[in-house]
Parts: sequence; C-alpha cells; structure tokens
Amino acid sequence: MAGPVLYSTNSWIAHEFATRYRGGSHFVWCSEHYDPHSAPAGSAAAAIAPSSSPKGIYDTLRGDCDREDRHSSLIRGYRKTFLRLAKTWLADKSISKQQYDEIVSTVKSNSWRIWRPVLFVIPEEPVRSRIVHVAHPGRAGYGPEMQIHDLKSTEFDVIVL
Amino acid sequence: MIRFDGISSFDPVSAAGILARASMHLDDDANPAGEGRVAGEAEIRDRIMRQLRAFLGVRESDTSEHTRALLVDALDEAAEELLSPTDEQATLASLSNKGELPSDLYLVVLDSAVQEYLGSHFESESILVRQTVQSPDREQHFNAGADGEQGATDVKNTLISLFSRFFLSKFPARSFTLLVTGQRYGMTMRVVQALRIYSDVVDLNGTKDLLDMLQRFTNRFGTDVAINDSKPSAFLVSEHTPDADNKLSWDFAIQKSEAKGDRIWVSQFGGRLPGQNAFKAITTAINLDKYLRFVGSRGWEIR
Repeated sequence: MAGPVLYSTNSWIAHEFATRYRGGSHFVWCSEHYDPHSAPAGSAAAAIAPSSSPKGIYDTLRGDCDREDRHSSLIRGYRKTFLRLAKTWLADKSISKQQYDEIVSTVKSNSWRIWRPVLFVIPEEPVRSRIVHVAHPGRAGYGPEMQIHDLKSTEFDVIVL
Repeated sequence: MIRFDGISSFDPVSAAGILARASMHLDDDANPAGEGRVAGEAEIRDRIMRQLRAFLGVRESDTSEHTRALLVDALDEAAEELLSPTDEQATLASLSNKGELPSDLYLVVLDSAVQEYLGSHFESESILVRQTVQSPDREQHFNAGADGEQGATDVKNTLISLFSRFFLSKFPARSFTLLVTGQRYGMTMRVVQALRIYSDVVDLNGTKDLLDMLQRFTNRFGTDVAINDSKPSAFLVSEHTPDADNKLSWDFAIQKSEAKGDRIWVSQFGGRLPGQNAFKAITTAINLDKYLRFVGSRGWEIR
C-alpha cells in the first residue's frame, strides 16, 4: 500500500494544458517517495530508477531550464509527447483545431519558462482507488511506480521548490 | 513520404490520431494515451508497422533502441504531414491577446516615460525589468477575451499584464519586489510602469493579486487625482467614451501635493471593451520624486 502522500514532478506546461484543455484532469506518474535515493539500501524505494524519481526529475528539469539546454532529453521527450497527444485529442474531437494550434505553437516555441518543473503533492487516500501500479516491463527500474490517469486539480497541491 | 494502406480509409485528422497513438505506444507502452481508440486499431497498427519497417528496410526481429527511435520519428513525421500546418506566429499572437503567451516570449520595450524617470539607472533597472517580465514570481493578465468573453477581474477587457519578482539583497532593507506593468501589443510588452516595492514600507501581507499590490503602493507613494467628476484617488478605475471625433479626453485635477515642486507621474493604461466604444482605464498618480528619493535612500544597487 502506498504511503499517505504521493509526489509527482511535471512540467508547468503539462499542468497548464491539463487545466486549459482537459477540464483539469491530469495524467501523472507518481511515487510515494520524493527522493527514493535517500531510502535505505535494499528497500523497494531504493530500486526506483533515477529517471522515475520525483526529485531526480525536478532537479534535472530545473537545471535544463536554467541552463537552457537545447539537448535536454527530458524536454525533447515532453515536446514530442505533447505533439502526439495534441493529434489524438484533435482526432477524438476533445479539442478544436484552434486549441491544437495553441498546443503545437506553445511547445514548439523558444520558451524555457513553460518547461519549468512543478511538484504535485497528492494526498493518497482520496485517490487510492484510482492508483495504477505499473507492471514491471513498463517501469524504468525495479522499484514501484504508479500512475493516476484522471487526477483532478482539486486533489493535489502544486509546489515550486 | 510513405502512404500507409491501413489508414487510407480514414480522414486525415483521424489518420493522424492513429499514427500519433502508434508512435506513443512504441515510445512508451505504459502510457495509456497510446491505446487504440478506433475499432480494429490494433490490426491497423500492425499493418502500419509492417509497412513502415519494410519501407525503412528494417527487419521485424530488430527491436534495438536505434530502430525504435527511427520508427517513432517516422510515425511522428507521417502524422505531422497529414494535418494542415499551424501558423505558429499568428497563434502565439492570439495567445498574447488572451494573456496566455509564455512571458519569456515577449519582446520587452520600456516606455519613454519610464526611461526618462530612471535616468542614469535606466540600463541597470531595465535588466531587472526584463528579468521580472521573463521570469516572474507572479503574473496577472487582463485580456480582451475572444468573441466577447469577459476578463476574469473587475478591470475587464484591457490588454494589460502585471508581473512581480522579488530581488534579494544581502542587506535586508535593500530587498524589494519589482512590480512591472505592461501593455501587450502582439508579441511586444511595452512596460509603462516599473516600481520597486519595499515590504517594510508597503505591507504586502495578504495581497490578493498584483492589482492589489499596485494599489497598496499608491497608498504609500500616491497622490490623489480626479478624472472628470470621479472621486479623487491615487488609484482609479474608470470608463471613458470617445467624442464624436473618436478622441478621448479627460482632465486630471491633482488634489494634493505633498511637497512643492514634486513631479506627479500620472500613468494610465487600458483598452477598449470589445464591441463597444468605451475605454476602460487604470489610472495611478504617483509622487515620482518622493518615490525616487526613497529608492535613492535605499540604494539602487541590489548587491
């Protein structure tokens, strides 16, 4: 069973798009450990891959934004994901062509500000029934990783560290 | 450019969706957004992948990272080509109208009035102004709305943006919040005010928004003005209608002057309500010399 609080690092623009275009419904990867690498050696948390660590993602993303790293693999990945998501949302008619253009223009722009990290702090109990425990092949490492597919804006706090 | 048989019966938007989901699934099969949405999409996806591998000369058994990346990029490119191109500049300008443009995309220019009062401090202060606009702690935007939508605050339908950023000095009394007010013109932010707010003289506790912050500043450094028949205040929200020649006019009557000879800086910004002739404005009247004396006493440097 997950701890009482879950943590999820996301780009600011992911939060903004979910608010603007998805009715406040967020898809998040989350973990009950903000910094798995401070967990005792041999524990399940310590087996969480760095690329799945909320702290690891936060620090990497903040560094990439501060240094305006054009080769940031995280930002490159996010950009591609949003371009694909925008197409699927346009195809299922959950967004208009104007909204599709807004998403495309924003993620393709020169803004670094949109990629800055924000931390979601999610009380576990209200979302417990909707936590998806990701099976091993889908995880980056051996440690536990979770998803919530429809996290509402009212179910978490947004923190900038 | 490969033409996929499996999606030839779909309209371009639906076909792009199928390709995008195939790309997402291949890139990260744990992402539910990559799951099929249309009937028979799994079979369609299989056909697409076989055709793509054949086109790229990649064996079915090749599951290397390099090949996976190649396939994903090809799917993304094919999906992109199915849709009409986005006019990114026009879309970004539209986002600016709505107050939704990322602030670090603005070209920041300082109004001549701001340049004048900053004088010899213009160069150093304009760096702080640009930092504040492009990386604010807080921002607030008033917009003209789309198709007659109303803005989110009491001051509606004006293309005004406010930004604030805290600048820390090793000397606490020199730390301040810079409050910048700008008027948006497309991708340009014309700064009409840039005010240092020191929290020991202007109480910022419980500030509900940046307009509130500006009003608190004018409570300390403002001087009352009246516009036409309005009640005198250092911070006014007013509505004006152009005359028959489409000209706006109002008389400022300065009610108080704390020190003889002090310059009173009346700053007004606003815009027209969509579909209406009225002009809504925020007017602030600041005792400029009182403010500048105060900033001078704290020191312009923030080291």
